[in-house]
Amino acid sequence: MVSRSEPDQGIYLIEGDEPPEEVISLACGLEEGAFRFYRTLSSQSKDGEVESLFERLSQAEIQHKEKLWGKYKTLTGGRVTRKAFESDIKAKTMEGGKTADQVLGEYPDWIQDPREALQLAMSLETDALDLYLRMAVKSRKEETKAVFYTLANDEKTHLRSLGNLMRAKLVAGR
Amino acid sequence: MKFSDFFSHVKTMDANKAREWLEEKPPGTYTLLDVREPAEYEQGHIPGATLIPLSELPDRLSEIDSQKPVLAY
Repeated sequence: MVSRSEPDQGIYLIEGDEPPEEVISLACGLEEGAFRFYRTLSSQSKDGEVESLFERLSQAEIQHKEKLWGKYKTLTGGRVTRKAFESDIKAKTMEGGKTADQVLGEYPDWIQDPREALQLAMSLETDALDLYLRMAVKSRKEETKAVFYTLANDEKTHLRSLGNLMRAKLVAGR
Repeated sequence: MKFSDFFSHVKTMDANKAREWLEEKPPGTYTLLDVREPAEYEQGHIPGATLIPLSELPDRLSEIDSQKPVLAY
């Protein structure tokens, strides 16, 4: 799977000198954006399989956010409450660096076919992996780089499980 | 492998080998360099690749971490 993002897509979201807790807050916003996007697709779907696939993907984003909150708590020594943390999250952009409206504009017809839905999800997750890796390169603080590389690894795992699902679908469809 | 590769310190690998190489290495331990043109990059690139077109490479060498192995395509 390749990423089709532009060289500077989403990279404007960081300057490169942010501390790790700040990029966690940013990443949570991206996860939240992806959650809302998958939720919308799930609620608009007329196909039960597609609906449940997007629902599962939205739940995965929530789990990812929980993990980030755990890391944030450790980094800040528990000084920030969950409420304050949540209020700081801005979910305008999705993980790949595009807004939900941008992606929906590229797919004007709601995805109804499970394979197409999987392809869309895989391309979004690939863009997310690409963005986190490019952000790691841009970051000048080692601790911040490490956060991005962890996020990238999670996306890689996510992408691998979607790939397995796609392979199973292709085999079943033969 | 080409005959000329025996005389170069730069190793070449095919797509399958490169995929295996990338799978084995944790992110951050290497530089993935895309030396194609921006339009080609936008058509599809390996996630995490840094774009430095070949024509700009001599002037932008300082952007590449010399402590890490570089996989260029």
